[in-house]
Amino acid sequence: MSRDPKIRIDLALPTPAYRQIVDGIRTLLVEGALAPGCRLPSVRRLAMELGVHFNTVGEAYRELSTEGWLDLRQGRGATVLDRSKPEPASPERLAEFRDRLRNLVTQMRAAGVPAPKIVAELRAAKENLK
Amino acid sequence: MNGIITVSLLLLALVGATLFLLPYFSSRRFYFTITVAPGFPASEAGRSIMRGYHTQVAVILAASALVVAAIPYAALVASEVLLGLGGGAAFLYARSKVSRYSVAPETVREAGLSADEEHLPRWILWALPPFLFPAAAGLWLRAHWSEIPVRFPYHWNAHGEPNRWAIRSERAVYGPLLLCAAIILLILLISLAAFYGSRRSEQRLATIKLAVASMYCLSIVFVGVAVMPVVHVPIWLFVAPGVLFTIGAMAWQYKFLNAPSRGAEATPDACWHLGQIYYNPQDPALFVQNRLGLGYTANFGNRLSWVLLGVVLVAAGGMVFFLPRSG
Repeated sequence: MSRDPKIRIDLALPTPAYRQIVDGIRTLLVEGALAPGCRLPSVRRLAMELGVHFNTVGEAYRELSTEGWLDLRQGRGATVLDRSKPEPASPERLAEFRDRLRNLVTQMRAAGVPAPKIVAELRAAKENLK
Repeated sequence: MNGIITVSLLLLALVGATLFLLPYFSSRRFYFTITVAPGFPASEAGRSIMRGYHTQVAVILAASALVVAAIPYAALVASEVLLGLGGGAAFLYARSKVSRYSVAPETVREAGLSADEEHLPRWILWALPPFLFPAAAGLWLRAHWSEIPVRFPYHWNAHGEPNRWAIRSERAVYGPLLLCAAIILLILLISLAAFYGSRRSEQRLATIKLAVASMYCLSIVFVGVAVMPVVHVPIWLFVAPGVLFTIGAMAWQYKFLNAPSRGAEATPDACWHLGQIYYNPQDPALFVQNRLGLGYTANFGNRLSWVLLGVVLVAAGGMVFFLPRSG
């Protein structure tokens, strides 16, 4: 676990910056790099560091708050919540995730990533999960 | 007249050397303030541009030296203006040539998620003693008030001879000390604003270190000037710290900026005007790293920077009231 977890975004990617921020922070939350009670930088500070508009970071924080990861209180910034274990995903939701995962794997294959490498990446992702 | 010529030539040498070395006071990512590929400065095109710039500076320096010899009474101003304008034009010409080889700035951004609001390091307390020096000098002058001549010099010409005098008054005696305190306070406040209004990087602390060092230098010089009516202080004692500080600061900046591991802030070239003025309304940072020399410059695309500029101008204008009046 890193002492100062970091997120990285690429402004040249077609994925919107706010989506990259949400995904980056969520990954750190799921991996446990950001423990409950951790305070995240203010919207202004993170926007400045990443060189994006304040609204971009604000939107990302709001989405993570809606997902139950962050507590956003006026004047107190964003704090990581002790997120209670969610209910097991419904069969429909599971099917949706399966489709998305298949899509991602297909995209990786289309981009020339060899199958063993994809397996290794998935295994590494699983290892990072707590 | 010889004194003026000597001082003019020394100044020319100093400014000429600075212009000559100017392109080296930049991160490796930039060449004449333009973002370039890592190997570009060592390439044939890169070296050719640098050679051209150095040749132009040498020609302008020689022309300025001729001005000093031809019109000694206006040498100081004429030569420095010629060298400054000519050197600036040569730099911008080289910059326009480099822009043909510019590359897109880094698009990957990384940010720490620790909310430990960046606290200033404890050594920032070293910024306090420079305020104590003028305070102590003021108390000392108060204790020696009767020893201060009724009329004393406060300005000297290039020969070191006084050419302006002031009548003993609180404003004339304490003015330089108040001016000193105001200037170093302004330096400190601008440095702190740059610290909190810019992205995290090693350069922020380095800039504050440089600012604190300059506060010491200014404080010593001003205190020396303030006590001159009572204690004879040779002129060279004022000039020497300034020159030593300038040389030391330049050497340190060069070492800092050219460290191989040092990263540089990725800002779009298109937002830099004349290599020095940054205007980017899309960038939420209030201050960004200079592309030339160590330090920060305001992002004029941020409205707050105009407010700050106004405050600085008003403060600088207000400082005129601390200057002594001829009597």
